[in-house]
Amino acid sequence: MASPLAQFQIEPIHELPLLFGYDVSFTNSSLFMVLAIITAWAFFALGMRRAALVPGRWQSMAEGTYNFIGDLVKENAGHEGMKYFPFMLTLFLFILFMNLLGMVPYSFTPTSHIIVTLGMSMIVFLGVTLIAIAKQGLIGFLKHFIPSGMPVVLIPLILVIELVSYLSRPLSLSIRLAANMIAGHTLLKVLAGFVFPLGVFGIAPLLFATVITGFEIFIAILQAYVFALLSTIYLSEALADNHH
Amino acid sequence: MHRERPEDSSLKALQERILAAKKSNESKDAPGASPLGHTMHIAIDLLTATTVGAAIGYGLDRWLGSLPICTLIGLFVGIAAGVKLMLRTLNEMDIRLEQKSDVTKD
Repeated sequence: MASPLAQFQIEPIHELPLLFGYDVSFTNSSLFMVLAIITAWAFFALGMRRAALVPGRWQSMAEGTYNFIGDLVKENAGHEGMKYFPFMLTLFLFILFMNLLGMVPYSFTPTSHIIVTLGMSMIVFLGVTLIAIAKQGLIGFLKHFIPSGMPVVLIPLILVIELVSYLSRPLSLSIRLAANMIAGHTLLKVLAGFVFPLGVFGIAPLLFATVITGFEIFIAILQAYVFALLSTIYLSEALADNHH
Repeated sequence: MHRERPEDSSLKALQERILAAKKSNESKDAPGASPLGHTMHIAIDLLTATTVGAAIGYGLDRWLGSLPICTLIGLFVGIAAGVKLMLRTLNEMDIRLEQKSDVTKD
């Protein structure tokens, strides 16, 4: 039987020459990212093709997703944050469809690789930090890390500690998503591996795996939401200069 | 006039039911804000802050050639940062719990 971790194996589909010493082959991970983009595009483009005043089922799903992220950004980052709404919606849809496509049997989940999620969270982190510095200046940005009324002696120590906790944000954001995906998919594979060896009693792990599959679909949506939510909260901190 | 009365009261009842449903929806936690979510949040924050602190220390050591010193300092700074993040999350949990108990009092 295949190892439960074999599903996370990256296999090149189309070999490409090295680029600056890096292997940039088109892999199964790349394939499912492309598929996620196509699915997300199709979800909106086909759903809104015959846009009606009274939306049908598909159209209201597309509009509901749009409004869901729109409300999320407006509530957390305010009116000023709506500039970044297209980015947040793209981010949410990209993660959501990678997670959901990963639930299809024999498919691959790009979000189960920390390098993929870290890439996305680093983009968010660098962007948010640059926005914060542009909005508040370098001094104003650093002032966020020092609570008011702090004794001068303690300021360097607190500054270092706060800086480390700030720098750990992209890593915690990416690990949260990747760990959830790895855990869920491994659990499903292990459970499914019990079904045939147990014979008639295999019905128990089969039922359990069915329940877990539903739960995993919930997790796939929830983790995409959490990623977008935390990105929006970081963005709102960068935009608000009268925080302290 | 007389005939419209029961309809009126049923509409009013419907409106009350809609308002009640909306209220119960509002007091519900947003997904991801569950106690389990917060616990996961704390665990991941502790792990990543410690890792990042130690990694920065190790990077400094590789650069300065002072191997164990900066790594150890960075490790402890990372742990402190993780605890700081944990305290912040716990404070948020406290505030949310207080808000919740206020809602149920009303």
